[in-house]
Amino acid sequence: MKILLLKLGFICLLLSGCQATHLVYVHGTTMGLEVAASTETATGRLVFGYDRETFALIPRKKDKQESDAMSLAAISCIYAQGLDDVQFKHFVSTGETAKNIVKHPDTIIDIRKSIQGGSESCLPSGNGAGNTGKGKEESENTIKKEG
Amino acid sequence: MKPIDSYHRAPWFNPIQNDSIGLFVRKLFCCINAIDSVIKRVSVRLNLSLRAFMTRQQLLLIYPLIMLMTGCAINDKGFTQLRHFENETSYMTTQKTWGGFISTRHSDRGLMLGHTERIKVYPKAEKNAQLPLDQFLQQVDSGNFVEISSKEINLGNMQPFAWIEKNQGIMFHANPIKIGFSAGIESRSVLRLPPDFDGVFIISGDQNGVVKAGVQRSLQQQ
Repeated sequence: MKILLLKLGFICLLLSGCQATHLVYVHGTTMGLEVAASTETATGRLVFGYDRETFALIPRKKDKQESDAMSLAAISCIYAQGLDDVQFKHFVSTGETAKNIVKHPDTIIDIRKSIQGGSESCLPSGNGAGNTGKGKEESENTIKKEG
Repeated sequence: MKPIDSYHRAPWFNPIQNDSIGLFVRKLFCCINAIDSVIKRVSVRLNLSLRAFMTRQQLLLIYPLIMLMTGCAINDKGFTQLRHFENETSYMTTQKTWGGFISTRHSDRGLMLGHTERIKVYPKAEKNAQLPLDQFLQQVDSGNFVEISSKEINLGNMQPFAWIEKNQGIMFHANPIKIGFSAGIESRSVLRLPPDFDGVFIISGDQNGVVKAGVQRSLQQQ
């Protein structure tokens, strides 16, 4: 019992001390049993059944003189129907490139249209906007973070 | 030393007194017990039926054959189908594995029993020509991946910028995104860019599984 508590304490200590070291975007689906933790997100989870998660992590800067997090301009579009049909489009820009992109709002609209194949909607062709039936999930995120 | 049964009756193990820990441990025990009993039943039946018809020498031949049929792979070695692709700015690998699969790669380190599919996208090491944003978007849209020989590239310790994985079976993960145990079906798409990356990364995947990607270290000012 003591050993188990010591192990749990050690794992908690390890997880609590972790910070995101990379820019991360995760979209995942689980059906079944899952007992997991993540060093990147410093979280643990227990799933029994069906679960879908989407999250993004922006790492903090060690040198906080200019900003507290890295510069990022990103557009993500995920369309998921069940476990097999997952369509995604990501545009991720970082650093000076991201700073330049966010200076021109029209550029972001153009990028969004371009990665969505000229369409205003994130939905794939053949699925009209608003046609999000049972079991379908559409996730559209635009992140603008200027460091 | 206490008998195992006394641990099962220990107060902290009772789900009524401690829901989260009790439920977690109990569920895990149930699952492991169930899997273990299925394996035992199958192996006992297989043993009985094989022993009825075969001699010891024949069994020694049959067992490795069964092992081969169930499959085993470590990274890109063994019973796995690994293909390499490239476009102007990036490499892509696709991998399918049936049976046991051990990955020691940083991105998807773990052990899987069942069926796994992986698609990984790596940036090319060499710095490509600076393009304006619209040209780069066009390049990504029109630049399909072309299959190449594994001898043409050496990914070495390179880390992918993105990977898509589909797993069915029992999985033990030990990678930065996940440390733990899963049983069932799971699919995941991950983007993981280093903090010092300055540029643009684009990736898309359609309903037919066609992946397009592009990496540009820095864009030409328009």
